[in-house]
Amino acid sequence: MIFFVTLKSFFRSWSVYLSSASLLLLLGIATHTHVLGERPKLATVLMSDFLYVCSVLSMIAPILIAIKVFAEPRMDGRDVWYETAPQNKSSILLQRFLAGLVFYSFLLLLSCYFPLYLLFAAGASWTHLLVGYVGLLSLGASILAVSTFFCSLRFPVWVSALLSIVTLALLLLMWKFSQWTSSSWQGFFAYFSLHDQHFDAFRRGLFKTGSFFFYMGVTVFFLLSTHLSQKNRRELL
Amino acid sequence: MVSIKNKSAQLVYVQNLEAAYGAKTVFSAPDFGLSRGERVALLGLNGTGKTTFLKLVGGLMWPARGEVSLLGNAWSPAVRGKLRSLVGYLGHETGVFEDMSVREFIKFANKLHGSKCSKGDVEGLVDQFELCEVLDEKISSLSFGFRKRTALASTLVRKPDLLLLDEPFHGLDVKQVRKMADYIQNLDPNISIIIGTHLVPFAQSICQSYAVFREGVLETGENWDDVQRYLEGTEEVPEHGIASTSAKGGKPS
Repeated sequence: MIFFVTLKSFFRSWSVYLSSASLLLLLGIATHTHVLGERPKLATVLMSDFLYVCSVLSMIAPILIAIKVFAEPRMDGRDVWYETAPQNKSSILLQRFLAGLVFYSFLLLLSCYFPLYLLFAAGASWTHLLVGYVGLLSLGASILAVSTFFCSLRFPVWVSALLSIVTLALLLLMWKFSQWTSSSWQGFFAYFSLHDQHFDAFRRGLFKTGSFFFYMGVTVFFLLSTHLSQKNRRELL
Repeated sequence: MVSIKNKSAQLVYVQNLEAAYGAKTVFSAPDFGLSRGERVALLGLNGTGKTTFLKLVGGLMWPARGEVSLLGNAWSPAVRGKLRSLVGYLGHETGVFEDMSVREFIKFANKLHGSKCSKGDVEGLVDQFELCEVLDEKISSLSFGFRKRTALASTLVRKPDLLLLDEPFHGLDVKQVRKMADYIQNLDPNISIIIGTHLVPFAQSICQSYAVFREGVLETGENWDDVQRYLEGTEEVPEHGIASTSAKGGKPS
């Protein structure tokens, strides 16, 4: 029930429609300028470039979703209805998170027009499309979990958003750190690079099990951290 | 399955409770008890700990020291779900979901608490709080008075044994305050109520006794004139005017 109420709330908010339309517009412009370009490209290259552009822009959406689902209700007092409910707290957290993830999937679905065009008009492969979108969904789930954690802490909305962005930037820049550090730490930093190290295979249409589990691991880690922080918050004054 | 022990015990019992933010103790409540059907006003100046006390009794916070128990069961993770079903908590911010209609929100609150209310019960609450005319209107389009009423009706769908109201008159005009006081006064007499408020005359019209935070200690009493003067800062409450322990007092039997 909480899942459906949360999901429905996305479709009842003008700010959600406005942000979604803006993101899709940006994606359209970026596709035109960065993917199509002036030189002719193979359908596989076009698909790969599109998935890259889409992944960069779709990093913003989970942060906005987490703010809508977790930070705003905490600030305006709606959270009290959940906190006083006799239901399991982890179940409430999971239902709200899943509602956010389903809405994120819906946004991804709206971006499918270009890959579908490549599929039917230029002969791109189904596998490439499906693997690419599994990658986008996994990446989005992990970013949503990171933002969920920060949006559940007792900070104003803008601080939660800033902390999510900084953490995300750190995770994205891990590949840069790996280039600066000695060889023994290189692998370590490169492994925790959220985008380059793990998303690259997905955008080329290769399903890399290790990267998929990396994203799942990040998601579970931050959801558990959220659960523990909520539990401890109630136990300490 | 967790069972509620000792049904005959006091509904709320607070013992040696201390609330602290870091090293600073905000208040202490040595001994406070509330029986079934009893209504107590929780009074105190701003920042003395009324909201914190209500949250501690409602299990929304865990105490630094001391114990809060409902029907003889101290709040703990094991009994949390069971005890929560006994408590209705309404904060000074109503927290109603503005994108829903009044009907949808009451239905949502009912489902959230295990659909304890039948369709007839819900209709009864809608009548009781005079919400018929706005039932299908979006909450965002309603006045603050209607939002408060919607929130109170939605808190009651869980059929609580204990109702915790934090500043129920906050943000309402005089007419609406009177109306809200009437609504609370006419609630089921079996529901125990703790009202955190500054408005002593309205609290007096609803409650038999009061508990006041005085110099960081929760004390209870029934001498409303004295407490009114104390809160207005015109006179200190004499020591003999306020009992240092619960009016109903005593540990659960």
